[in-house]
Amino acid sequence: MNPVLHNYLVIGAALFVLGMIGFLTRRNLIIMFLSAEMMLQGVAINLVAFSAYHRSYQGQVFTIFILTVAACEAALALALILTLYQRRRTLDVSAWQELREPGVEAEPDEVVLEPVEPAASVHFPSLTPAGLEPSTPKEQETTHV
Amino acid sequence: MNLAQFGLVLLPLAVGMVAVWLLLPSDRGRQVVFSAAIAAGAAFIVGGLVLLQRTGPDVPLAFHLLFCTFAAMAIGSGVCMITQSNPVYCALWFALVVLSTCGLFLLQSAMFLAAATIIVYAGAIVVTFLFVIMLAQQTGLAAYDRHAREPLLACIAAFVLLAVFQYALALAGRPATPNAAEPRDLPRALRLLADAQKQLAQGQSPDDVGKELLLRSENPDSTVANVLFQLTETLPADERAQARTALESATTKLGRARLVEDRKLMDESLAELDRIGQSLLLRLQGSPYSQMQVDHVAGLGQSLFGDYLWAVEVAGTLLLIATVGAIAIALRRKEGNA
Repeated sequence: MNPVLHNYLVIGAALFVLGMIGFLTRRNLIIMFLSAEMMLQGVAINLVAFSAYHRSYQGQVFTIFILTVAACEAALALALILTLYQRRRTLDVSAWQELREPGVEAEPDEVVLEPVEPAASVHFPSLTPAGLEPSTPKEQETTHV
Repeated sequence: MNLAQFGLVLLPLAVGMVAVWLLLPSDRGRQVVFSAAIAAGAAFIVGGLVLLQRTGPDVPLAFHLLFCTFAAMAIGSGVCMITQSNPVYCALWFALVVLSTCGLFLLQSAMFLAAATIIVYAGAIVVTFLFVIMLAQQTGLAAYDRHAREPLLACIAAFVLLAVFQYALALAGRPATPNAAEPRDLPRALRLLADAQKQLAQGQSPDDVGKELLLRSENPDSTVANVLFQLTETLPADERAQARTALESATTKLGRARLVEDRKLMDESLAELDRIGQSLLLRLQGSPYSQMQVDHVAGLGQSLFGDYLWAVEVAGTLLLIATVGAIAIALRRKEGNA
């Protein structure tokens, strides 16, 4: 086999597998989504390498369709993540274990960790406030997310 | 790469997977320094293998070095992406993965695709990034970001999958049967063909052109047969079948003559090939075939909006439906009405 093609296929496979690890292990919905996108990148590398190898445009055309589908997927995934976050106020996939098949036990987390507050010693630069602060009732909760 | 090298690759693969396993966030804490050293070792071994393996005389050194750089960047940022516990850094590392991938695309002369990927993914990344900042950054590092689910099992599965990929590639990398024409010869063959057509257009006699074509081919059997097979692509179906039958018989004869080292039979079959080639060249003189490889973006557009027009329309509809669906899903409902 052509060594250039071979190297490209190896890189594509590696990216795909790394994305797979990320999708399987991470629990943050957004990171899972990014990992799925990385798997698509691996496949796209393979297609472009084959396109150059066969001197035909088919592989590149397929990759353009992958881009299209990835854009659709991004739109839908972000909309879903937004909705899920509004329901449970967390991005953890484990919060949605009730979506499992009937008859399957829930899998509780082995270790329950508390969230880490950002270190208090870190001081971010801030501007001196200018003008008058508008008076708002303190109890009013903002619902913007 | 062949089957003997396959075993050699398994070791850095396993080491790399151990490094990924150690890097994944867990309640042990991430053993960054230790696993980074392991990962660097694996990268060093793999890089050395790839560099040593390097290619043929038709691949320039600069190409190979650029490829190694982009590939290392892609893999390295990929590992960083899946192992970061902070989602903001994850998004940034993913942007780097996309940029390196675009570099790899450019090296394969897919310029339009590189630009399109940057544009599309940059947009997607910016949106994702905003979401991450809005949703996840409010309460510091969340517990679910600091604890990966079943990292060991996932790494073992990934190792097995990657090993299977490597094995399949190693199987495909075995030397082909000696008589099969090497696809690597095609660019050269096409160049020869374009030259021959130019000479014909300048009014040289087909005899001379055909002879020169044969002389300039390093490996007359495969190169000439390749050129002629490529030429038959552009013929109408009935003529194509006829020409291919003639070609096949001549090539078979030539192969047999080479095998038994029969000088006379060899000359005879070469002359026959020569004749077929000349008639084909004459038949196709003025064909735009040699133009096909020239314009990348124009050719891509022609293929996209010619061969795949229906698919393009379907993809456009898909985008529209996805937009409508996203709006329908994300629409805010009143409390209790959900």
